Amino acid sequence: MNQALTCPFCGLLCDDLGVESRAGRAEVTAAGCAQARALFPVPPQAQARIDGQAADWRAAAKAAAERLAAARRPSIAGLGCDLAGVRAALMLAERCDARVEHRHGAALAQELRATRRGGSLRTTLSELRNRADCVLFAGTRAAAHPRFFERCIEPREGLFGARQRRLILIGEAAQTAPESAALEHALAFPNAHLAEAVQLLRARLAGRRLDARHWHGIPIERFDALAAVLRAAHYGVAVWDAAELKPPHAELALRALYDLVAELNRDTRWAALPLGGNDGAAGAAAVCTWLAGRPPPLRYVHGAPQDALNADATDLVIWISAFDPQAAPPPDVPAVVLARADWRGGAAPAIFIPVAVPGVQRPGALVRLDEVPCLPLAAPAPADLPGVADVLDAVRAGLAGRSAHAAA
Amino acid sequence: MLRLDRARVYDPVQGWRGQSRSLFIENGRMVADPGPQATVERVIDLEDAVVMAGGIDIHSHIGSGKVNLARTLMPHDHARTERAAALENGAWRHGGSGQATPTSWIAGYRYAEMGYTAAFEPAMLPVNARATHYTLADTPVIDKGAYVLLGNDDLFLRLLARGAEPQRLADYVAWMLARTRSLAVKVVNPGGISAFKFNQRALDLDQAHAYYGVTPRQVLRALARAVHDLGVPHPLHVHTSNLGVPGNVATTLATMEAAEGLPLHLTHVQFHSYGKEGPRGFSSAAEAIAEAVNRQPNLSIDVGQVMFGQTATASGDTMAQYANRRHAHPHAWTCIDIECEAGCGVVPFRYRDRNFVHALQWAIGLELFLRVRDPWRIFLTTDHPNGAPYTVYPQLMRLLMDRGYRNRMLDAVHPEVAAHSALRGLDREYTLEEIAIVTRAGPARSLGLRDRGHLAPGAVADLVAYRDDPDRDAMFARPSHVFKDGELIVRDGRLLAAPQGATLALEPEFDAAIEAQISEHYARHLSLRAEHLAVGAQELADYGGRAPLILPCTRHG
Amino acid sequence: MALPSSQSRGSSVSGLILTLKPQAPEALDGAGLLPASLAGLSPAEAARRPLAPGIELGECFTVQADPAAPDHRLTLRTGARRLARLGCAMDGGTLRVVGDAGDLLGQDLRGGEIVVEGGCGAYAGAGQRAGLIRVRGDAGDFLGGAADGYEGMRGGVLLVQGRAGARAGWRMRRGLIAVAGGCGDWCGAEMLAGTLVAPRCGARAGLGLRRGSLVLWECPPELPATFNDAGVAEFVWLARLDRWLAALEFRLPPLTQRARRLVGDQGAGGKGEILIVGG
Repeated sequence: MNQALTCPFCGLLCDDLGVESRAGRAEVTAAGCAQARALFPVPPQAQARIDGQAADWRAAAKAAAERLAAARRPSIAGLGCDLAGVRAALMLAERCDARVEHRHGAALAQELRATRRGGSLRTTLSELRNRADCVLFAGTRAAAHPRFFERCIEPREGLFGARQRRLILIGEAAQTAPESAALEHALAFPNAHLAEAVQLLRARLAGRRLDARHWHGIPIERFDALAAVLRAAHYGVAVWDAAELKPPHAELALRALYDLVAELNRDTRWAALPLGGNDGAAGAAAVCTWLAGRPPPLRYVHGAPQDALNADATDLVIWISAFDPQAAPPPDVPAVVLARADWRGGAAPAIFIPVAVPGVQRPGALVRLDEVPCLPLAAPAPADLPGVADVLDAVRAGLAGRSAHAAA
Repeated sequence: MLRLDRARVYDPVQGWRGQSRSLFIENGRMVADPGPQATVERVIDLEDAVVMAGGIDIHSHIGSGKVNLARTLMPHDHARTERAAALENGAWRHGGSGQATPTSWIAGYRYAEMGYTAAFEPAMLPVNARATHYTLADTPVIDKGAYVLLGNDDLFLRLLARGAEPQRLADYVAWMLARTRSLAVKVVNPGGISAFKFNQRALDLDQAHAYYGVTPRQVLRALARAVHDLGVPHPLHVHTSNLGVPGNVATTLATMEAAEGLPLHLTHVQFHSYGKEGPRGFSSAAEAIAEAVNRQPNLSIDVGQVMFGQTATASGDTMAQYANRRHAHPHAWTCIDIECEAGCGVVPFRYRDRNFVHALQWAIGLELFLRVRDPWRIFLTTDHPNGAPYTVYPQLMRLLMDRGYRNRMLDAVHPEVAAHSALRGLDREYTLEEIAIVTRAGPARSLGLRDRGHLAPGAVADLVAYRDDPDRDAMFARPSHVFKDGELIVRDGRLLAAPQGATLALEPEFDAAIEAQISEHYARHLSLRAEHLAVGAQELADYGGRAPLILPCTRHG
Repeated sequence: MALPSSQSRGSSVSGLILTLKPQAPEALDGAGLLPASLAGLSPAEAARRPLAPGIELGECFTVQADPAAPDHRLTLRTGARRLARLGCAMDGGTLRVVGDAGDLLGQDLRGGEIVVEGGCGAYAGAGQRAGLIRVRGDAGDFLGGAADGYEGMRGGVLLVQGRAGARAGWRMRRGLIAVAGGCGDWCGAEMLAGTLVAPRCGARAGLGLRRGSLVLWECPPELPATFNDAGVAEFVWLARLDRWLAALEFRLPPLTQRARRLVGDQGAGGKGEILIVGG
């Protein structure tokens, strides 16, 4: 049995899983969540196909290169893979002037745009777990990260002694019934109003008079009470998940939250912990930034990276989903799908190439949702399948001499 | 065998001062003159160019996560892009972007194109080690390595507060060095990054940490001792408390004394050489700092020279960077408390020559260069990108070598700087030999790179030829030839090939008991397992880099 | 408003008309199409100018002389195709767009005049420092807003005859935006200073407003609760604004000096205002 393995299936990268290989399939035997138990078992083999016809993966990669060379506006999307896969995607995009985007690019972009427009104080999971005596859940219950509460909130005994944490929910997260008595439902309202609610909190924290006595049925005094709680924290953490807020205006809420955290931090300590990073998004953002100067979405123009401004129409998509068997490529565009062997994310694509799942069938590395820790992925059930990077490198090799600016 | 003729070699290690000679290279190494009978496959006439070993940057933030944060905060810096292109040998030169915070591929190319063949990331967090090494693997051509950031991590502070034996602390340091594939140990604002998490906004050398009760002096001494006892070639690399604070000269001087004779390297000292005299409460204390360095042979420094223009400041020092946030330009900054290990703060910044403080910072750095007498103990850095991007090095070399040029620039900056700085009175002009020391031989010796930084037989054949030019800026910006491991990779400032460089690391030994203790601490309290900090040799190769090259853990005799 | 005229290099040369060819690439960056960079060139010379690396202007455009126009005047016939970044960092002359413009129209504009006969995409006037942009049709989202790498509008005048999309004036710092057809939701969000005039706008106007003025004729729906009513008063500068807009031949309902002043966003310092004309 393999102990203390990293789970690649959400941005938390829990690294305490026990995994066994049974008949070539990985099974979670210790720790892990329902999602991990469902996604670790992956068939060791699947058939590569070109237009429905069975083919060797190398032949499929060659066919993909031919179609890529003929495409005018290709894109490499989904990008659900490990760091080496993202790197290979960029090297391919550079050769064929492709657009590069991640499945969770919209949430990434909201977060990025908010941090580029002011200050941001952030923290990481271990700091939250050991220090936080007050956690403000803004519009989220961390539902996309199943073990967040178990790993970061519930441990009471920390490095600095026992912690009484106040756990406060605002927004839609506070509208549903509490599953635990520990959660305080401070202010319930739709997440679309989050930016305004945070501005109200900031106004009351700054001691500003307001004409309004109520806001969406909530007496303003409730904001005062919440402001007092936030101010009383020794180390407060504001948690949100941009994916649960609607772009493009979610960034206004994120910006307001960062400003709130910075204002609270003048007297006591506060920091933010944005959640996200699923499907390798945090790693994709990191690699794209160190190699291309920006997170996805980006595009290459004449071999130089640029921000991808608008969602241009694309005429061929290379869709990568090594972690999620159900991630579907955009409809109505010919697709080359590089995905796990049990992928079932829609109709049969033009070309399908099964790839090894990093962390299950192949070693690799990913960046955790809090962006700093970078963890290794093991291969508890090695399979005779190529990695995402192997396939993309083969496509790139097939492209040699065909691309628009190969020898420019 | 390759022979280079008519090379005017400056090699301070061998005492060569520009006499024209031939050099011999075989299998990537320098070899002695094999005599007239030897078979020489290739001869390159360097036409009396000035030849030195490849440049070595001892302190350049090119790999850590904070640089990536800086990139994301500076979209303007990345609006200017470079296209991918095929190189002469058929290999590929990747595209990229950024001036102050270049993307990793082009960061490597740019170093090579100005004759630098090694650069070291000075602030690697253990939890970020893997990403740092991957980024460095994506920094082509140059050799690289990283210094692990310790001294603000809760486990170390707990051990220290509980009075752990020096041997125990040394084991801890050794474990971190070995597992994270580091070449040296750095401490940033000793204890202060942790103190900030407890809402302390300043921590002077003898001020107690609010929770642990230990002082920065204790942290510093314990780490310096551990590094020394382990035989780590490079002394403890110290970013002292009170970065950028007017009057911090007192702290810096006291830190130098705190070493009590143990070797210490103080980094980006320009940012720690400030007085608070004068009408603006900000003055140069470079003279006092330089005198202290001159007096104490256990010390070395690098400067962290400021040059004018847009850049980003990126530091582990959350306490200082949080205080600096209002100077952000453009107005976006990020500070992160990290994993009960450390922190980081990124504040984009523009140094303006017409701003008194910025121009005085520029003058203070130059004063340090000119006042420290022993070139073997001062290294040329801008603390890339904090003082300026490393691409200003050729201009900085000219400022050191050309007094007239220096004074003309002094005339052009904020008019009060000339009055508040002794710079104009400093006549010293660096010789080519001194440049070779502060940019290659000195850093190599300090880091324990025995076969780099010089050109004696057996040395790695990393060398560079510059056409002699009284305009030293132009001369150093565009070498005529650069060789990496004996391969010609740059001709007339243009990249010809982009091989992968080596990652240099140490593997000190430690008592197994510390591994159990560290594992227990991580498993019980933190959100990741200690064994997952370890960066494997094979995984670096799998990613596209090279397995680390392990250097011996013994100091120069 | 006086506009700086660019230096003409020869008295006999005329302006140019560029007509986009149907076979031009889909994603075309129009940042290089500036009056100053083509001034004084014959159509044949202009056609040989590089438009993008490896692409000559003549491959994408038919180039004709425009004898009626002076040489610092450039006309682009784009039809419905949307070229991004038209007039980027332009510092003088006149750029006329017959048809639609894409995103980032007049990005970082430093001087001169841009007239778009059709509509424009998102982020028109992003980072604009000076000069005048006129859009006869509708504008997209983030009018005068802060595109990545740019601040919001920093100066100059931006006039839209049609409607503007969401978040007009986002993070605007200085200058004047007027939108005759009204703005979408989140108008004036996080505005730092400057003036935005529109008859009406969508929900949540002024959220995060730090300084600056939104001048409206109708109170916006769902006004953030962080605005306080400071009552009705006379604002002399509104009359000046009215005369200025009239001089620019921009049609809006008449601006009275009397207006209701709503002060906010109290969460962001509370130094901004929404003026409801007529009270």
